[in-house]
Amino acid sequence: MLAIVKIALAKLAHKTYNSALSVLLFAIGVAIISLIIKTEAFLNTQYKTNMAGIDLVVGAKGSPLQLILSSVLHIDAPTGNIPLDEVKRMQKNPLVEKTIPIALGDSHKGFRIVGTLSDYMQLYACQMQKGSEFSKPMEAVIGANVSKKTGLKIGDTFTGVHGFMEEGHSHDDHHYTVTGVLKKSGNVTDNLILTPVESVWMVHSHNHHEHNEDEEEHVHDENCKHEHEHDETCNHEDEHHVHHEICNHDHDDHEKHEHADDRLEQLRHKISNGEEFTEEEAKLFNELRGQLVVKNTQPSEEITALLVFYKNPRAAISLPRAINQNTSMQAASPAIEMNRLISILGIGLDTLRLLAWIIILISSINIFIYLLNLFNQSIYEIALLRLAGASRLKVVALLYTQGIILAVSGWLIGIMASYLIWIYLPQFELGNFFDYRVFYKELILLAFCTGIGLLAALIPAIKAYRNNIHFTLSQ
Amino acid sequence: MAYIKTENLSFQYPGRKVLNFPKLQISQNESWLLSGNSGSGKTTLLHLIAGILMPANGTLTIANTVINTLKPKELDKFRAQHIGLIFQKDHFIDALSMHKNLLYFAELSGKKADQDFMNKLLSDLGIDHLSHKKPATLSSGELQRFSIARAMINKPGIILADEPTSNLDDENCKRFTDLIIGICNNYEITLVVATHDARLKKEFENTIQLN
Repeated sequence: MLAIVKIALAKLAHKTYNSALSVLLFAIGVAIISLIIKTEAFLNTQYKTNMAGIDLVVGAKGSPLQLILSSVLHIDAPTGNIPLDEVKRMQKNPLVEKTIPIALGDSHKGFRIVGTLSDYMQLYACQMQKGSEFSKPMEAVIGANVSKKTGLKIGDTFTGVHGFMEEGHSHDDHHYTVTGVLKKSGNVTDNLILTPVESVWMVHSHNHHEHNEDEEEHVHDENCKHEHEHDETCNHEDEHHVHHEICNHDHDDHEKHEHADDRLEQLRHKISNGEEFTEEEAKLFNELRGQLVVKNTQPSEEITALLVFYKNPRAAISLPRAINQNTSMQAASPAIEMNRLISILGIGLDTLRLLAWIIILISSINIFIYLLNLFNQSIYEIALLRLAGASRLKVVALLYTQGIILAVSGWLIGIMASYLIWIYLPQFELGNFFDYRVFYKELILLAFCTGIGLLAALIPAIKAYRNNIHFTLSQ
Repeated sequence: MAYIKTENLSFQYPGRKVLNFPKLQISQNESWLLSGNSGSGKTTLLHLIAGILMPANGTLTIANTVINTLKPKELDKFRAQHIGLIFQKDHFIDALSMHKNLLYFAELSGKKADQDFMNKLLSDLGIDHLSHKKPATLSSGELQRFSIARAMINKPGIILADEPTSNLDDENCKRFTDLIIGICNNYEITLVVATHDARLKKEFENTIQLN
């Protein structure tokens, strides 16, 4: 049997270009399918690990999917910022078990700087590779990939730039100090720079002042009473910052606001009871809500999003609706949005998968034609092999071996290509992601490929089995 | 005692008349010429002896084995171990060197190739220096000698040659005939050559004439 395999290999190697073309075509189909398998598994794994039990994400109004992508997976621009006082109110909600703030806006060499609490690290079960957690503003804990790619180590200082690109306006006067490096965990924290929320406020508070001094065309709310020049602050909207004109009010307004708060609560109560507003009440509701958004808010004391954990399942029914209807914020469920994303991606992946199977079908027809030609060209050789003692089954095995060699080589090259592509994709590192289920599916793919190879060799093999040696040799 | 023995051997192609063959008694180490006109059944008889065709009637005994009663798999093995064949066309596997062609041919018979025997055989045939080459690079005369080597690689008791000289000029025909008869004598192999080539008649003492 070894001789049959050696002959099969030699015959295929002899027809180098034809064999290479057949294998290449097959490999392309296999590589696409393998990449789809990996992508699906990666998305599912990322979904599970990065969602980390987060029930709800609260952020600025906009696309809910964008909010999840930016605040949980850290792969999109934020929808904007939300005022801290609204956040504080959220935290007091009896349906809320726990919240973790996320403040975004800057990055270092393309890695996002995330203002948060140390709870964020606990959420992802992060372990320190070196150093310790941050304990005060402008200290930072960096992910394993950040350390590897940027070379930052404990005690190093660095600055952030606006936005999430490698280059941008730099906050040169605010230096972060690395206090800890996280162990590689295969989730988003590998690529993040974590710092207290106050760090982000400090960096941006300074910038706002600078900005206000420079901007002469700045528009002020005439109704605001300004105590001193630094109280007058406006958020600016650039690539990653949402602009709200927020003004400080002096203490004379305090009582008025408390009254507004009570009135707003009454109106909210009406909403939750399903009672309809009068036109006047609706106007008042919007007015009061607008006032409360700005109440007691310090300049730049905003966050990008709040990760919310429910106290009980009932919260899932009422809390998102209450936030979306009664506040200037939006609430997005990671589970719903990620399912939506996966279903959107699923259509694309299914199309790609269909294309890959069409390529494999074409390549199997190509292998069939190739093997048939090979058989027709070597019909005399096959007769000689029979005379040499090769049984009919051995001759059939020769044809089948050729089919299997072509298909399995195609599978092997396709799988290798897919892993190479996977490794070199910036987001997907093999070191971060190896799933035995992927390998299992790829082995099933191998079984399919072997089946296709056998099928392609079927007709040539039948012809070889029925080959009349006498007739062939008498030609 | 006869090494090849036939009795009442006949064969019929579908829709054609029955071919009846004369009784054969061929001893070991003898060289026989099987001659006759086209269509007389030379190749058919040769293929019957080789076990490629099965007779309609009669018995065929080689080395005390009635081969027309063997099962296909047994027949394949018997043929590989006892019979060497040489054809008019010198077909080899293009993808393999001549050495590997011979080696795999030996392996397919189920026996491990005797490397020393192969080297001596190639040397005796004067083609040992060509064994690394591929078939496409050799002349027809060289390929014919490799055909002899392939037929002998399993140390068979019989070599059957079908029109081996029809493509050769007189000089090469004489050289081939001398070589194959000489080497069969040296290695004690029974030789049966089927041909209508008149040039060979004088080279063989024993002739079977088919009509």
